[in-house]
Amino acid sequence: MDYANAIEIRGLTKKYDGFTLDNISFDVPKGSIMGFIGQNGAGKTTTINSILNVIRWDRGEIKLLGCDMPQDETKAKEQISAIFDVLPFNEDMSAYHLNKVMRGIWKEWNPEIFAEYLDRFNLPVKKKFAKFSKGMKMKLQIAAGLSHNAKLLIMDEATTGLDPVVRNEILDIFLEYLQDESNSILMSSHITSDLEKIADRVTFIDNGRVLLTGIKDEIIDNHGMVKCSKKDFKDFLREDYISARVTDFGVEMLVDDRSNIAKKYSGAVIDKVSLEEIMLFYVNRNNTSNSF
Amino acid sequence: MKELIYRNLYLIRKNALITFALYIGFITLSSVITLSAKFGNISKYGSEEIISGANDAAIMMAVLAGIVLCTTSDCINDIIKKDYQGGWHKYIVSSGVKKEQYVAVNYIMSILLMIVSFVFGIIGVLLARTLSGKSDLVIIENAGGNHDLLLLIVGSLVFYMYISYITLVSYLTKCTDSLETQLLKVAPAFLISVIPIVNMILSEVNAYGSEIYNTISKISKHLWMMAGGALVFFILLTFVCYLISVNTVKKEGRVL
Repeated sequence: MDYANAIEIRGLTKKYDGFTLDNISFDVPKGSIMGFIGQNGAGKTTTINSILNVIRWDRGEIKLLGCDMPQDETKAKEQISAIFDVLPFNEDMSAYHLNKVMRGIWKEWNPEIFAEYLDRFNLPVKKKFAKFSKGMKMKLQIAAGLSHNAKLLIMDEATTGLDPVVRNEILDIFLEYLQDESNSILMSSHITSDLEKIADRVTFIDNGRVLLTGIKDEIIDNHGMVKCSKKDFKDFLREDYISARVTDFGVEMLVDDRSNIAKKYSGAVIDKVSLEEIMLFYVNRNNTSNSF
Repeated sequence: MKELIYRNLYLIRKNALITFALYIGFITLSSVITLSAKFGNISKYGSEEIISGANDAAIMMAVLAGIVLCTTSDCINDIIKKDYQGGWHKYIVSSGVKKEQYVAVNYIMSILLMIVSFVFGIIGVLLARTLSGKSDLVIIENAGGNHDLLLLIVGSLVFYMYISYITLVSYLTKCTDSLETQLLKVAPAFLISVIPIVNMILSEVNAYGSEIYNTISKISKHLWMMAGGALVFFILLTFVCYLISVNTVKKEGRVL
């Protein structure tokens, strides 16, 4: 099946007691890696669970690899790998037994590829998962995820809690996976530095709503951090910045239209921002004091 | 499907081995009793009545050995609980496996274990019969034969009905350890234990007492039909539990 977007979400809405995933829309183009960021409780896992049809959403449309969900669920899911923050395989099992079980779950399960990944990640075949480290468990999930010709990887906080060396190793594997242009990744993470390293696109969700979605480099380039004194801060109009942080040394403001702000406030110092700073300032955009 | 069954069998292997060891223990004890009644101290020093009683006890022990084997199937619910807590449930629901298929595995497991426990249970009873030289264990007079096998089959079926029900409760409650879950789990056992007490109280009233006695006498003449009925009821109950479980898994996360 031919499709332009590996994931298409339109108007996804899911209501819980005290939380609403509100009209979420974004696309993950085929061949790209989308970083899905947001603080705890922002709705990342709810969105991913809806995409995977682990929970039923109330409104909206989801298309996975060109298949309508949930009508063509089975067809779509055969080509998807979901990777979670905890190992879903029973810890009493070993890779040897997992290989046998996976044959029944994935139509295109390839034991040779699985064995290759186990070898590459130095994962013992007969050792029980209970004796694996967190990094080994994550590598095992990735090995299993990449051994059935999946066209889309969906990861929910998969790199959380891993040390930088393992994270880096895993990010390299994802980049290698994307060498095949028909493969795509949706990766939710708190660790924005990882996404800054590998993501082509970013969707930022807060309190159940998408605040930003687009090409990562454009988002980073358009945003900027204005640094000024408290006295100069008073000259800035509220609508010209997202939020501000007042410190003993001055004021930092996040702006979303760097070039226009540079023209409007000539002489203002505008620095580059990281995804983490963008996330932090957006989250605090509604502070009544206009600063945090 | 067979790979998922393999997974469950692998996960219950330790419990299955322990239960099988218990079964062997019961059968050994039963054999020792029958051999003693034939060649040992019981035959030497015991009266006819004691020898007959020892043989009956040995056959009953073989029946119990078969019913002990059934307890392996209780592990299915441990697996479901671990699957929910460990994330396997979410993983499998996110995969291409149909929800009907995933849920069916646990019910099929229960039926497979039932067949295995029936086979071993019957072998145990037949062995006890052969060693004791008795052709049957008569529990109710004038009610046909093979009461030992009937007891094994009906006892096991009642247990497996309970397992199907508990499996359903596991899916309905997502294996949460709440008070409601515990109450739901013990409710059938409570009801079953209440029936004989109510019967006992009612039988104290003469009119009811004779009515109950007559009913039991009538039923006891058709014990094999009772066993057949229990089997049909088990199949229907398991199927209904399966359908509700699938529906529950499909609706997970939906605001009701």
